[in-house]
This record gives sequence, C-alpha cells and structure tokens, in this order.
Amino acid sequence: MDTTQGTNEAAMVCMARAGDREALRRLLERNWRWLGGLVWNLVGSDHDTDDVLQNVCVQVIGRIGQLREPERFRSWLAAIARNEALRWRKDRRHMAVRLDERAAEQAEAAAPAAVEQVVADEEAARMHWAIGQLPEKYREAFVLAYSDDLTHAQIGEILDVPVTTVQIRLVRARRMIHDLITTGISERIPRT
Amino acid sequence: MTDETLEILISKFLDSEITPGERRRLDAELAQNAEARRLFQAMERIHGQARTAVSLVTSGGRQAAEVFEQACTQSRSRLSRAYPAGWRRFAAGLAAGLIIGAGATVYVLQWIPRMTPDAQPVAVAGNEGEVTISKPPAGWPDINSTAGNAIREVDLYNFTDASGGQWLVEGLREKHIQPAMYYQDL
Repeated sequence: MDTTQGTNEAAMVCMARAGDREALRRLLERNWRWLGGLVWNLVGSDHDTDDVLQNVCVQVIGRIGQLREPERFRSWLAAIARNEALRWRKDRRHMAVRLDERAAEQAEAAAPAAVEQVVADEEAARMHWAIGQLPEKYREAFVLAYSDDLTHAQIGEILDVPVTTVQIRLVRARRMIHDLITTGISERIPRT
Repeated sequence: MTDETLEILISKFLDSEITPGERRRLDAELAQNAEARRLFQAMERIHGQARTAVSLVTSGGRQAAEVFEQACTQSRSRLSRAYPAGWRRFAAGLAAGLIIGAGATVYVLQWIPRMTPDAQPVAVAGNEGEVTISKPPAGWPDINSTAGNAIREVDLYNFTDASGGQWLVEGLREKHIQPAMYYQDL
C-alpha cells in the first residue's frame, strides 16, 4: 500500500472514531469499489449488493468506535462486509454467485446490436460465465484485482492473507479462466 | 523456465507488480519461446476482458455517498427504536446522578481519615514537633509552640475524649497527625 495513502487513511479512521461523519463517508468512498466487488462476489446481483452494502454501512457507523487498530481498517471493513454478505445469503437462501445467469440476463436485456457488439457481448458473457465457475476464494481475489486498482499487498490486507497467496490465487484464477474460455472446461480447478 | 514460473511472471506483469529483474527474465523467455508468447497473448486478452467484465458489474450500483446517507438515517432510527426518547432521558438523568453521587462520595471520603481512630491525639502537651498554629478556630486563643518556627501547615480540631476532656488536635494537611497541645485545664 502507498504509505502516504495508508497514513492518511489511518488518520481518517481516527477522525471517524472520534465521531467525524464526513471522514467516515470519505473512507467508505475511497474503499467503495473493492467493497462492492467483495460483496457482489458473495451475493451475486447488483440489487442485493446494494442492500448488503447499506447494511455494511450501518454496521460500520455503529462499530467504528470499537476499531482499535486504525491501520487495519480495510481488513476490518472486509470482515464486516463478508459477514453481512454471508448472513444475507443465508437469510435469503441465495445461491452463491451465478455470474453466468447474470450475463444471460444482460444479453436478454440488450437491444439488437451490430455484429461487433454481439461478438463483444458474447465475449463478455463467456468471461462472466468463466468467472462464475471459479472456486470462491480464487474468484474473490480475481474480482478484487479487477474491481479496483489494488496492489497485491492491498488485496492481501483485505483478505488477510500473505501477498504470495494472493499472487498464487491470481495465477491459478487466470489459468482456470483461460482453460474455461478456450476449451470450456478447466482441468486445473482446485477443489478448494 | 517452468510453466508455473512463466505464469507467475506474466501475472505479475499484468498487475504491474513485476520487478526489473523479473521483467528481464520474462522478456528473455518470450523472445525464445513461442509457446510462452502464445500464453502471454492469451493472458493479456483475458486481462482486458476481465477488467471490463468486472468493472461493468461492480460500478453499476449506487454511489457510496447515497448509501452512506441512507445508512446514517437507518442507524438513527434503529437507535430511536432501541432507546425511545423517554428512556434516553431517564438514562441520561441516571448517569448524571451517578456522576454527582460519585463526586460527592470522593469529596466526603477525603475528610474521613481525620475522624478515624488513627487521627486521635497521640500526645498531651510537650510538643515533639515544632509547629505553629496557622489557623486557630474561632473562639480559641492564639497558641504558638515554644520554638515558634513554622515548619508545616496544620489544621486544628476539637476533640472530646471519653472522660469529657477537651483536646485541641493538630492535623497536618496531608492527613498525618502531629502531637497535640492540651488546652483549658493545662
């Protein structure tokens, strides 16, 4: 993580802990994209993602005063988001992410388009489908890497895993997606 | 170079995490290995498509400011439901009462040692310490020690023992008791 950014963020966390609502709002804005990616990865739809994000905000507002280590704000936020998403999934008996279904919905909603657009849509649909086939922990790292301009270290901080683990998960996720897109199957999908 | 190493280097390159040394190794491998070049191109394509696909999905929701404002409203209404106004006023009053009570208790306790058995006079006349009565109580004559040198500030108290004797007790401000002077019958 950029040291200055990390320091600023820790300072903003301290302000938010002291009751500065504006600082808390800015903190959430700065982390919004990856937070959305993390939740979306678990709940699987935009609408549900918005609802879960609102619950996450409520939790953050209520519990920011209890955060003892400002420099661990991101992992703390990720833990809250993951818990809220999993609770939502359990309560609503939602299936884990079905990105391929979402891609199909998008294709249905799309207006008639030029050949290039159809090809692009097909590629996007295939990519959605392939991402949806990934085991959750690989998909999690993959979605975080592409939902925001996060470094491997920042992804590791959010997921609370070492940087090398993030790198390995990204390598495997890319290889699985490559296999899925080119052959329709992936021989390298790990069980976990 | 093994396939796994090649994939790691490509992955780090795509994420802009590759070091100069790793970049040189990757360039050398791509220059001499056609299979490595094909894999590199395929991964680059996946990288571009994935960025578009994921950002399309994750950027479609509501903005942070909007969700945050709603969450703030929701938090306030939750608080109101959990602790209605009457209960909040009662809790505030109770807390204020407790604080005032605690303060009063502390204030009273700091005077108690002077009334405990330890604070009773330990000597009659013949002062051992050299003290000057700095604040004689109203109605008492001015009493000074024989030496007359002030060495500590003292407070004076009335004390009546079991046989009815009147004592003038000198207590140091730090709650220590100095030898006392007997008054009236002496």
